[in-house]
Amino acid sequence: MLTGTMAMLLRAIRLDARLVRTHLFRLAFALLVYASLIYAQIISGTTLLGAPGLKLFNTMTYLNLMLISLAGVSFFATAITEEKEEETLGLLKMAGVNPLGILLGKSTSRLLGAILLLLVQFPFTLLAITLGGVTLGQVVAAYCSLTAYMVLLANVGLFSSVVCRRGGSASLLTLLFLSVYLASHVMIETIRLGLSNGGLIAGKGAIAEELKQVAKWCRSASVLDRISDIMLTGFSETPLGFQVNVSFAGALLFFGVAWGGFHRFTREPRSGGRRQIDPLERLIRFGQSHRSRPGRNALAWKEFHFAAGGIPVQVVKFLLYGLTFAVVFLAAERYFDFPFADAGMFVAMFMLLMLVVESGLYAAVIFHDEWRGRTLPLLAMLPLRPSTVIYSKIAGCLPALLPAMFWLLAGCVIWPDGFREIFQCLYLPSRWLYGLIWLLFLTLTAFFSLVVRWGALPLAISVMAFGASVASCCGSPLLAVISISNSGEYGAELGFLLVDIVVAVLVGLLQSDIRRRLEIASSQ
Amino acid sequence: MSEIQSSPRAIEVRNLSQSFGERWAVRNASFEVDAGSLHGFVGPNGAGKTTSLKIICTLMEPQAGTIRVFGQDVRLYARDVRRRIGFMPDHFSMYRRMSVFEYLDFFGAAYGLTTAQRSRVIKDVLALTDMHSRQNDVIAGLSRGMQQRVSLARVLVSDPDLLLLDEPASGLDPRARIELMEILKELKGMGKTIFISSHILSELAELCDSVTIIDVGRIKYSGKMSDLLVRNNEHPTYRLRVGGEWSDLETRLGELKGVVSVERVDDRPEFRISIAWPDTDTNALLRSVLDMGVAIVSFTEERRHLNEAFMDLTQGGLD
Repeated sequence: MLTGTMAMLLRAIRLDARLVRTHLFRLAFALLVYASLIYAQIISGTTLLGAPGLKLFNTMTYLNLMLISLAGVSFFATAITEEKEEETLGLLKMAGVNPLGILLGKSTSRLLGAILLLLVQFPFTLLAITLGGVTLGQVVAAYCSLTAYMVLLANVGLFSSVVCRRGGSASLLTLLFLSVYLASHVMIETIRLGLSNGGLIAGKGAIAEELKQVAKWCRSASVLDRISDIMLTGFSETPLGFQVNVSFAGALLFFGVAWGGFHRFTREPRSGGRRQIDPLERLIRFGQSHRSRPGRNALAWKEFHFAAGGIPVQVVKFLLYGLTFAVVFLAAERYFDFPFADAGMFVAMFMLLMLVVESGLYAAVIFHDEWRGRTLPLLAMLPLRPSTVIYSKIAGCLPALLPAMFWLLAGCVIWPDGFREIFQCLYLPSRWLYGLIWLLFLTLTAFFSLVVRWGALPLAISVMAFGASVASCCGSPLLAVISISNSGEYGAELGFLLVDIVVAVLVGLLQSDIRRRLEIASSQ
Repeated sequence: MSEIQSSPRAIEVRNLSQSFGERWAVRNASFEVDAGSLHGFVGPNGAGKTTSLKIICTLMEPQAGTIRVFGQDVRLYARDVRRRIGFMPDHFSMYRRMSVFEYLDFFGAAYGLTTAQRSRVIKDVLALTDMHSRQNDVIAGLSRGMQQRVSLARVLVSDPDLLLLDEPASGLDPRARIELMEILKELKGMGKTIFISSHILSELAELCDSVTIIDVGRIKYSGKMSDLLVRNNEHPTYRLRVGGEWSDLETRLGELKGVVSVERVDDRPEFRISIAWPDTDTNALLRSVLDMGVAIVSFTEERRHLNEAFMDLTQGGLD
């Protein structure tokens, strides 16, 4: 029994240990920490910055937090869906591997690999103590907190991958959990405040007090608040705090549910029976009967209807965004002392975020789906230029951004500064940079989607975050010199123009490499 | 342009070489495929069939050699060549969430056909592949054989002159294979050139006019199927079955003009006669036999099976 259960786990660990790239990746991670350490030391020696150790530790901890969150929605959430999509889960079951063995082999090995990444940093992070501003207790508590968060997220991901049929749905479910987990206390507090402001509940009544208690409990269980507590000077609590215990208990619960429901959720449909269909797929199928025939740009038609979901998905998005819009304005007017213009800004910013998220999702799938489905040769055989194929696919996704764009403009109409901000985007190089960074992010996502089997989007986000910190470290002095040497209102804009050119060149290089990779993939 | 259109060769491959690292996938390969013919491309696994096919259909650039499709160099006129060819890869690569009609409609539109043209062409190809009743079905729900038919229908939507089919019958059950072969025969009747790579030799022998055999990247044979299947290229062999018993017939047959050797098959009234080729007229030979007063029951050319020819020409392994 135990041999069968452990077989897959041991195999995965052995395989991981044999691969050179795993060790290189860990070494690179350690070197990154070490380089940050040296950088912090140099900065502390040349500037008046206090507590460089704490600054370094703070940066490292939040970077880890971001990477763990990204790993949760990609690396951990695809553990079982990967087998489902490749139709190999049945083979594992037939080979006599029991559900516990499959769960341990597919998820726990990934978790161990990720924990090793945290462990490898630990000795280097201890050096932050010598730089000053941080104690051993803080370092240990932070790593305990991060490990517990990682274990929780790994098991939530595992649960999602057992429940969902496709990796994308599992990632979405994990992301949903993550959002609720991290923002639950804010949401509960907002609801409490809204209800009491609107006179629906007594401000100091029993319900309000209960809601306050729940919000406090959620806050204590949140890793974000735990980390910010740890970072406070004078922190002296036990490393195994409430958040750690709740995270381990939650992880155990999710693992148990995934184990208990394994057979139910991974059962193959009986012949003639109905296949498990995701709600998104159901919506797309609904759209099938309402699809128009392809016009002159067949590739754009295909992307709009199959990658972006077609008209039904756009209508649903339009209504959902509209609902958000309505709720924000209703709440601002009725329950909160919130200026109308600020609500407009909130909506505009939220829609901008949705634009980035949606476009990132499309960039992650438009080439990846063709690559995995091995349909690239069919496209390459069309009597069209490769660039026509690529840009037609992109053009097909653009109408899918219209719902978010509509509500973004609506938000700008209400926000007095909105149109001024948009207008500035037309002539200020510093504003062009936002657009170029967005383009770089999309290009990088598309590039990674042709390099890695899964997780192109989180990988692109990680690279962008890391690249942004490196670029700001290296670029800030240069920008400062340019702004000083070019006095006047638009002195700094010249510096930004240079940055724009660098980013544009980077985008161009990446796009030409994407084209090369597509041609290679087509011939394989 | 008119010269190109009227080229009698659908495919001309000259000294094609392609390597992956240190391993040669195709080495100095040359062969031709006549327009309007059904040409088999045979070889063991790893022989270089798929690589050659990918180069011919413009998916891969050749490292050395010249490849012409209907007289046009695939390197220089890739887009023009693509308009005239239809390629069916060896794997099931399809947009599985589309319905059969949508799938064909999409490719028709991508080839620049108008809506009216597409409607007409799709109706025709669905009728040819017998998929008309399944046109609204989602591809993911179709059987393997059905998906292969849809794949073939997709290739036909652009009305190509040359069809390049890579292992079209692999993984199909016997019925689906037979049905596919029937469709190919029909297509050949419509004047299409079909270049088919396959492992199922028995069906190829029946179907193909010509064949190319490739092994470890080298062409072992390229020419007419009938020539390959003749048991001995120098001395074609015929099987003569006669009525009644003839005690000295073996000797008398051996004395006839052009006969190289005669061998009796077991103790039956049946003889294997090898003749000198091409000097011997088989009609004259038969006349001489009849003049001897022998009643002929049957006279057939003894041909090798394609399997035998394949085994003789290939070494069954990698260098």
